[in-house]
Amino acid sequence: MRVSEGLRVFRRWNAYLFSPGSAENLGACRVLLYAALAAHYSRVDISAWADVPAEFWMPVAPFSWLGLTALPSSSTIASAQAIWLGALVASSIGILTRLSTACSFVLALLLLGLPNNFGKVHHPDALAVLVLGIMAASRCGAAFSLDRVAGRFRGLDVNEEPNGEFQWPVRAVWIVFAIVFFAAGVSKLRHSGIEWMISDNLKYQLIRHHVSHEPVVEWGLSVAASPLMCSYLAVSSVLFELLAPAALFSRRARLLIVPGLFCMQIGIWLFMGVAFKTYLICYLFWIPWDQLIHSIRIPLLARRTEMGGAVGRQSAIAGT
Amino acid sequence: MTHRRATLWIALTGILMLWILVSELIAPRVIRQAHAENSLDTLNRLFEGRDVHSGEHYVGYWRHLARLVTLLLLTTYGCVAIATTRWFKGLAAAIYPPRASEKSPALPPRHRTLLANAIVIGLIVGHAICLVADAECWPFSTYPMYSGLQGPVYSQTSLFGRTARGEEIPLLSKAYWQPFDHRRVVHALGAMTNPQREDQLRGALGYLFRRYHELREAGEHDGPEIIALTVYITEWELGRDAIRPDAPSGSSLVMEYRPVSQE
Repeated sequence: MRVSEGLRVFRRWNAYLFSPGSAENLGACRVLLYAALAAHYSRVDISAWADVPAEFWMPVAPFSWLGLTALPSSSTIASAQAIWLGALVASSIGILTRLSTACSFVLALLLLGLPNNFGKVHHPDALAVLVLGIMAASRCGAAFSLDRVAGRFRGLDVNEEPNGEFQWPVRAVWIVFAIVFFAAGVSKLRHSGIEWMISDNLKYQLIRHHVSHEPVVEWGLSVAASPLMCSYLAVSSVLFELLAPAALFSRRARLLIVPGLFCMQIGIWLFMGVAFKTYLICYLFWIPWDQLIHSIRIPLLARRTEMGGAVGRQSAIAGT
Repeated sequence: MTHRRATLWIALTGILMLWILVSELIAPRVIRQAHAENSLDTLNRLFEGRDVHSGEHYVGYWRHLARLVTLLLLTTYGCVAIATTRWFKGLAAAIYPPRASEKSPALPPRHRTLLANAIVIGLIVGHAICLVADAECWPFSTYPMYSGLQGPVYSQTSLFGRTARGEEIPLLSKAYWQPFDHRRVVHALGAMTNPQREDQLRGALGYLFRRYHELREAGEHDGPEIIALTVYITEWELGRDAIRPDAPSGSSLVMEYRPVSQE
């Protein structure tokens, strides 16, 4: 009985993870994700960390497990970063997609992990690494890629029919999102309890970010002036975070929770000056690109057919 | 409107009305009476030993909580109102259309199914271990950002530059310390501010001083000419009006660094 119950759960899980998804949706996610990450990280010089003295080296796991005593030279890191950026661009365009996405993931793990050993863990980079890992294991080059064009040219037939192979990476990214926000909600309740929401905590957080950060707008101070608004925003944030897993299974919850979380992170950026840029990039996985492309393509095709018909009629009239 | 939806609306409206009635009219009276020991024994006992504050203090606190709950109920009401409309249901189905074969998915080959499952389960287990152990193991985390309580006093390690005229200027720009940003610099220095790590802090400041001048000479920033770096533990009283990043309420010097040639 228990075995059959377990099997039923596993089947339902597989039905969720491998429900048919389109190659176009995953392909569009790949193009946009890698292009955005390449643009974002091209402005960051990771090689300079090689020259930072040992006084600042405070390794975090798993780097502490490696027992590193010296970092590679700055030129080695600069070369690795150049290769990584090249791999991100190649992944976006879809050249040697399997190799370039794998290379993007492995180098991201090392290069984005490195700065975390110098005094502060930067969480948004971790999400980028996890998403790159998922994409590296996926068949995301089946659409919108030069590999696909080259394959067609050589007469190779690639199955582009919607299937689970194109859906599981998107669902896996959704699961990571849900875990991340749920964990953040649990952390708040674990470390501060209900006080985090109903005390003056958020009021002081908003004010202190005007000291420690550079908020985009000054409105945080106006919000801080209303204790009720602060408590309301705090409770809403924790509730949205804890309810994030519901977005995985309910379409209607997804339409409310995901934009809610997006607005929350934009709000944190504007009011507190903390920008979760990699998170904002990864929200693109929640957009059904295939539906969007379809809805743009149909009117365009209809217009083209209409124009073709008009030209045909004109030439018929000219002919008579 | 379907029968189910109408029932939901009536139930939610009833709960909201009842809550507003109880929280705004009945509860404050009960609190005042219980504080004055004129209520039921059980309620009177709730206020035993709490006569430090007046009854109005507790009524004020109650009103804050009650209005918060009212706002949350209104939000829930709004969300349910939107989510149960046919329009919203249609929108959800249009954006995320139900797949016909969702119940019998076209599974990829066995090895691919196993790989995908292993990755997803690995992601869940990695985060679960961090969450249970309350520990960071990059790239897995418990995402504890801002999970601590912020009180009315905020203190942090701050880095200032001293000019030849003796002025102290807060050095906040990211451009001064690349690849560090200001937050990472103060976090790292904060970890070195105990007396056992004095040498480490001196070495770190030596590097930052050199880095500041290297980047300045390379034209990466136009910060002021400085002759020394000073590290303070600075405090801000967040309840005060007109908080300014460059004007802390109090500060205590941890270390001043001057290069050997200038000492």
